Amino acid sequence: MGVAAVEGALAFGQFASELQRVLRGLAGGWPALLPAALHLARMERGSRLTLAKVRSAMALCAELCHEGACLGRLLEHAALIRDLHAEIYGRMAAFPLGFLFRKRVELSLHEWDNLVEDCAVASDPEIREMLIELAGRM
Amino acid sequence: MACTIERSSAYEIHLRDLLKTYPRSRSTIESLISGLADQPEQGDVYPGFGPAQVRKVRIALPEYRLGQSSGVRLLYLFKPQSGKILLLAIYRKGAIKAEHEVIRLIKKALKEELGKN
Repeated sequence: MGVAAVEGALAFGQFASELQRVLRGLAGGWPALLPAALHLARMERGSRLTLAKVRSAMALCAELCHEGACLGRLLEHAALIRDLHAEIYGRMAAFPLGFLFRKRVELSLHEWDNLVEDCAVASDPEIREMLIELAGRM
Repeated sequence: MACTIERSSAYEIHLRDLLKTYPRSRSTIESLISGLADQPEQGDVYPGFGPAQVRKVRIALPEYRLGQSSGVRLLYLFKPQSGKILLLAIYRKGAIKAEHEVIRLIKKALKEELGKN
């Protein structure tokens, strides 16, 4: 799971900065309208790429890892990104060009929420213990 | 060789409840389940379980215009060595930031299956 932690941390860090720029742009009023729209347009691509990196790292680790120790850290990163998406989505209604991006931001929000759910379930110690016990019985 | 699919008691209860709300989606769900026998490695895999695989598939319910992101989730355990699949839970995607509800549901399902209740 070390690979996932490294890959995930790198991708999350870059993407979190991107989301912070979007939020600053959305709060900037009319003068920041175009830069905010540009950041929003880039955000969707960034979201897809980051998620793809994290998912491929998780799939790679699945065959090698017996502990899942890094999932807790991944959960923190993913929850931060998900919460930033939720904040951006909440501000879409007040953003003059929000109608252009609302659906895409919503889809990204769902994807990140899905990753948070996966990390939360897979890192829960009680769930892990029971799943390992069940797998042993199969 | 096709895998053997077993259904946990919690899964059966979840499915029954789900089909009360989405009765027209029975065939969509059943066809995905039967497809697992030939293609057991579907959806996203949870790392950290070694040779056993814990997987989650997102199912769209086109009959109700629900896409993958807002549709149904199927959680299952796959053990490649024995070719067995155990369906653990099936549930509708809830609100955003509702992972604690999912954790509660899965814990309950696992405890039932292990006879810990």
